[in-house]
Amino acid sequence: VPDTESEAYELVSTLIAERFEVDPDAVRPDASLEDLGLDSLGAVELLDILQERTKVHLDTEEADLSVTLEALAARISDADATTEKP
Amino acid sequence: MSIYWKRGGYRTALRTRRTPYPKGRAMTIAAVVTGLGSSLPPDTVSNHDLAARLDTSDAWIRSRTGIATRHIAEPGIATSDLAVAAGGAALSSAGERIAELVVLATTTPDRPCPATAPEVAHRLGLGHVPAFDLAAVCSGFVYASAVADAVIRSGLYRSVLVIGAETYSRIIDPEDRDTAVIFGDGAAAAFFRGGAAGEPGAVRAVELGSDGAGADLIAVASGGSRMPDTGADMPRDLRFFRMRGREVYRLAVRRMTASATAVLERAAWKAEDLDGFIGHQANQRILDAVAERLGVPAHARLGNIRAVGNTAAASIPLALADAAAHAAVPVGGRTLLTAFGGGLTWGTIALTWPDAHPVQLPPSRGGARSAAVHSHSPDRLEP
Repeated sequence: VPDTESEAYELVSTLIAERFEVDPDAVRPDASLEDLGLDSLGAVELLDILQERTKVHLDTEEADLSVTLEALAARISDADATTEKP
Repeated sequence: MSIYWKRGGYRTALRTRRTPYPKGRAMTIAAVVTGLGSSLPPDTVSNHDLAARLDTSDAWIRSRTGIATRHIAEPGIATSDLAVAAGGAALSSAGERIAELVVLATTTPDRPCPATAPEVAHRLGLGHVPAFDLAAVCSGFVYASAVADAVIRSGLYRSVLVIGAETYSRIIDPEDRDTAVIFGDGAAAAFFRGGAAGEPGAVRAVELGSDGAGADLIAVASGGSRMPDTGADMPRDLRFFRMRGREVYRLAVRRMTASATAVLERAAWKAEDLDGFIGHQANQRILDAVAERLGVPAHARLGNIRAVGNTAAASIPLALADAAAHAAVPVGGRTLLTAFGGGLTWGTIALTWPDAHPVQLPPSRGGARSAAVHSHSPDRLEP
């Protein structure tokens, strides 16, 4: 589980580059999921993998395409590691 | 003389109708798929057809689902008509005239009562064999195949015709963009008989599961004992099939991945060694995500969702028959079938690729008895 926001950002940005067909240069802290070309299902897939890896609960029902990578990383590093629903 | 002749007298009396065993193989040790059949209604609906009446586009549908077209049964064609054709095709493919049990996996039976399977067995000329419907929504074919595997290995029956048949066009809200673009009608079937574990088509491992906590995620709310009314004044959300897409997507990926992982372990196979992988064709994005997480090689990923859409319980056998028609997997190749559906339900089967040449037949129009019943209420025959 990433402790710091920079660790969380590293995880998010690496995952996006690996699992989605995204231009590596476009992966920046202020880029939103929509900027990176993800659609709603892509957002669900990303949040679900992040949830599995970090054990932080991320509500896929409210997957918001306007969220930036920076903000997503902050949500992960700020959260309790025990909040994932069973 | 096999152990099966030693049961009750009524069984002995039926011996001439029973599936003959190959000589020198008295003990069944595996259920083996030896025939595959399918039936698709001739009418199709393209993405462009849908875009003309819904707020959507061909590009949107393709990128979200991977679907280009789906088959839709014309008015008057029921699930049994598709099931009879697919079941007959599977029997023909297997070179068999009888099956000792018929299991029909469907979400859309001809009517709430009785089950559709006995009529299907009757129309297939199978006499008085046991026949029942199995309701596990999109996991239906995997559930029914698990039943076939179990009853064959137990010795209760020596051959089982498993059919997945659906007419989702009858329960889908034509105005609901989220589901109207996904679902199609169709049927496909597999013939299982007792055989040896080393034969092509032999089932090797099975896993099933369910989680009723998610019962509302994929549902038709009315028409059952909790809410019997189905009238036209019923709100659309209660009258038609509804699905909570995002949550279903997430759970489908997780459950199919976990179930497939468990079965791979039981079969002592590795994902990278698979020759054939067929997931329930709910949505190409789900299939890609599952195959990606499991590490299934690209050449083993099979399916025809582009041409048929999501056909629920018929989706896996339709993909099986399609892949077999194209000889996409070597006979005996390591194969995994995994499904997730309403209930929630899920399941996975590991088998070797069957030595079967699939047969396709047009929908049967032999529902004579149903037509007689309907003729007393002519309004029901109107499109």
